[in-house]
Amino acid sequence: MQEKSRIFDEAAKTAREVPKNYFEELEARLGAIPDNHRIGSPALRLKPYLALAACFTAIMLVGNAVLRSTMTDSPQSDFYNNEFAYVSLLQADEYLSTESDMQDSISDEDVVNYLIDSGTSTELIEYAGLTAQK
Amino acid sequence: MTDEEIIGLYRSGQEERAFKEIVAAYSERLYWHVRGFVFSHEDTDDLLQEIFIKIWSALPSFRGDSRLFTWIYRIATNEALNWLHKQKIRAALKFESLDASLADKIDDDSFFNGDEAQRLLFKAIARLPKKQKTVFCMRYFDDMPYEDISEILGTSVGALKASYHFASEKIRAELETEIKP
Repeated sequence: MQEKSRIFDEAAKTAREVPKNYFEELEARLGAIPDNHRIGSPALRLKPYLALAACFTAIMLVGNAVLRSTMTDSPQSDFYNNEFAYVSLLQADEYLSTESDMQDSISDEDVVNYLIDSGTSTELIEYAGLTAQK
Repeated sequence: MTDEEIIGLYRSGQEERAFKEIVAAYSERLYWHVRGFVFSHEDTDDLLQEIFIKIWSALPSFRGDSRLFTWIYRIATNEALNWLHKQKIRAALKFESLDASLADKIDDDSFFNGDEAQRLLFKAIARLPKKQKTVFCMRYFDDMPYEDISEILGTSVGALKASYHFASEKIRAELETEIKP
């Protein structure tokens, strides 16, 4: 088998040129690669991870800001967020309020029956101004 | 300096000096090797810079399982084939074929001084399938022995000879059609 025929003559190999002094200039340029591309430095190795960390931080901050801005201002949330409102809730508590309509409906009859059951004398019940009904 | 001496220099801690020896020994050889794939002088110059940056970056991981020559040529060949792949994609985005794109580069290369027959030869080489083009360029332009090509490409010598034979026949058939007596 003939590897090269007439068509593949040596002239084809010389059909391509390079600029004058190209290979000398090329060698000098390629020789500068180590100065421009330091390998193994810790900063260079950390760079991609730092970039990733910065991206995650940015996403978290932006996401947090967006979530906060979309939280609705409902009266109930205000109520529980406002410590003064919480205090007024305590003040409205049935056990602290002097307002009779805020109290649970305990009648005098219930009080008298309780006092009688607990052995309180009749005289004391009458003294308290309560009338017991059996 | 031999490849073994260069490796010894690198392992003794003189990395930059070892790299400069690699540049001195291989820059011109790799230039012509790459130009066989990309045809244009400007593209070859750009690609060669990237190849040597890759060699410099990968030197710490060179284990010596293969010869330095094989390792360097393998990097250069892979980078050249990657470049061709990217050119194919760029051409496709412009609704062109890679063949047409490379033919334009041959026509536009100001550092091509061959005659019309030689221009047609280079265009026929550009149209070869990837494997045949690789083997043809390394055998014809680089005058590389089949054993070395086999080591670089990881292909048997028999398969390489077959690839070269088919590539030659294909180019011959195209040129006989295009070059009118």
